[in-house]
Amino acid sequence: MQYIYIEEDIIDHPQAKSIIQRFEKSTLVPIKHYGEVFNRKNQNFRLQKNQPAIILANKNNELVLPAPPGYGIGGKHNYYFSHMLNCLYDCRYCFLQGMYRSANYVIFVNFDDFKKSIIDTAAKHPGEETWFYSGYDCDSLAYEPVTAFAENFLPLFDQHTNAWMELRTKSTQIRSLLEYDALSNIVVAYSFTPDEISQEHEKGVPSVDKRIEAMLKLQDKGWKLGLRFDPMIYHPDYQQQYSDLFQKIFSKIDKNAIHSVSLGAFRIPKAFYNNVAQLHPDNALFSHNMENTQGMMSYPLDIENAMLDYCRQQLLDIVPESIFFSCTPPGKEDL
Amino acid sequence: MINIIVALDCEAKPLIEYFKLKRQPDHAYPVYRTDKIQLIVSGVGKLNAATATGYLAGVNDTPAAWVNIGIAGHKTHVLGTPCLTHKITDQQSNQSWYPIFIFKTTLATESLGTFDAPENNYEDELLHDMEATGFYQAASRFNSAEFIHCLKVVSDNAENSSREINKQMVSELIHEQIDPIANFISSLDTHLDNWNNITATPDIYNAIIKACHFSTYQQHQLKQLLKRWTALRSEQNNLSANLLRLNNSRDILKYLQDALNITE
Repeated sequence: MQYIYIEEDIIDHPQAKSIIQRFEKSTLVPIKHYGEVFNRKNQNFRLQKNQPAIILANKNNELVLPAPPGYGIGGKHNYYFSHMLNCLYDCRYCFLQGMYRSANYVIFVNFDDFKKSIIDTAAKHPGEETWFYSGYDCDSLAYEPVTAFAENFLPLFDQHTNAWMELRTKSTQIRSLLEYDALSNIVVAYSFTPDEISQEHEKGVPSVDKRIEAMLKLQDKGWKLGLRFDPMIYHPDYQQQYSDLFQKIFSKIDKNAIHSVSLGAFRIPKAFYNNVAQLHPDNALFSHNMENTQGMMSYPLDIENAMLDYCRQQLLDIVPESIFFSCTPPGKEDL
Repeated sequence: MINIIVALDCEAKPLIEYFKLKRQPDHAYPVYRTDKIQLIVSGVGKLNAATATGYLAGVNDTPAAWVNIGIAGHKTHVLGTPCLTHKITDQQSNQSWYPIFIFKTTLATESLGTFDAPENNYEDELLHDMEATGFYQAASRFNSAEFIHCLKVVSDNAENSSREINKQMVSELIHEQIDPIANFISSLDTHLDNWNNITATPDIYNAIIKACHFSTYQQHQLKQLLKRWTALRSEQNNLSANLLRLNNSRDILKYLQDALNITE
């Protein structure tokens, strides 16, 4: 890590200090607010992925937000929060590369404020499951050795049992979880695309096999597991590809350890899509024709439905419908 | 193309010699160039740097990387130390910019402050100059931050006042650091070329718009469709002949659109 930008007000924050200590050779650049670096116009997300920097910041407001429509696994109250913006991995289909101008990793260090906000939000729904998704703007666990996010937040959920958290990840950084007794209100949800698609479009991501290995370790420790096939990526041979993937996973993972399985079509807001297509004009993923449904770009409806129907059926042959969830973007529920 | 902005003739001289740049006639500023590098001598100060940057952008609109090269003061650095900048702050407005590095360099990077007048107070651990923020703000109009940099050679410090600087000394300071300067420019150029190749319009575009009339909007559509075609199908052997056989712009666009459809 060549550069660490840090907001001047948090130079003495213990979390910031602990991260800085890990990168002794990095140059520390003081900034007033993370937006100065992260949100500035005329940046190139793709080029910055060559050598991203860390931005240490304080998140002052909107720490916990309502989850976007179609993002959920059956809970009535759904929220998300982001201790980090951006991801170590470089998945070509990821909407973050179209949403953010910078590929730098913003790490918010004021964990205590996030915790208070989670407690306050959960208190609005006493006695009801209130879900907090932590992997919307980042991978929940990929940067765990640096952020210690899970290590810090597990005790909170241990104490507040109506608050449920989904850790959504493609990472094998699970030491924090293995060192903690499994919590009944935490779901460690692994995202997958088939091997061939993963190798082509998920740069830096642990292989499907490595992810399954990590899931097995978590399963053995009693953690609830989730499976996320979202987004589904088109391949001319998608039926075989996804079928092989499901078979591979369920030949090793006990389906009774699975808390939830969700399936979602590839979709990305039009503005983000345009940004990504400009960044990757040489990538086939954004060169196929896409359809715009109420501002959301996705595969043509017949392809999307065929993929969803096929995979839904394949999965429902393995897992009960009660744990299966379809992530449908707004505007497509009735199509 | 690498666009270099320098304030002074004596800063330009070693660069002109090393890169074998040729003076271009009929310009409002001294402009020198080869087919890969353009250099303009802006004069001292951030306003001059900004206007010269804009001028150079107008001379040649090829996608370019921008580098402001010159001398700067620093409290402790030894005279002749070459530095890139990771933060540049306008000392009058207190506004800052953050050049972005997408490759490793052997040069150290520093924070820099741009002052309105020569600064002999070396209290902060900052590089001191008089052009960088004007240059940077202007260049940011023409390319993304990854391709805009300031490279300074230390000419004065707490023990060697800026009042002692003369033209010969400035040329010598830049000349002595010409290798690291050239290495940095070469790396920047490589990354720029890579990016320009990724975003380039496919070769057959020009042949097609010469053969058929395309409206401005259709030209844009054609460019996008050809890029998508290239991403999906590397072979272009028969494409040009197939498209030109179609005779009109609408059929050509439809042919490409149909070919890019996903089918079950």
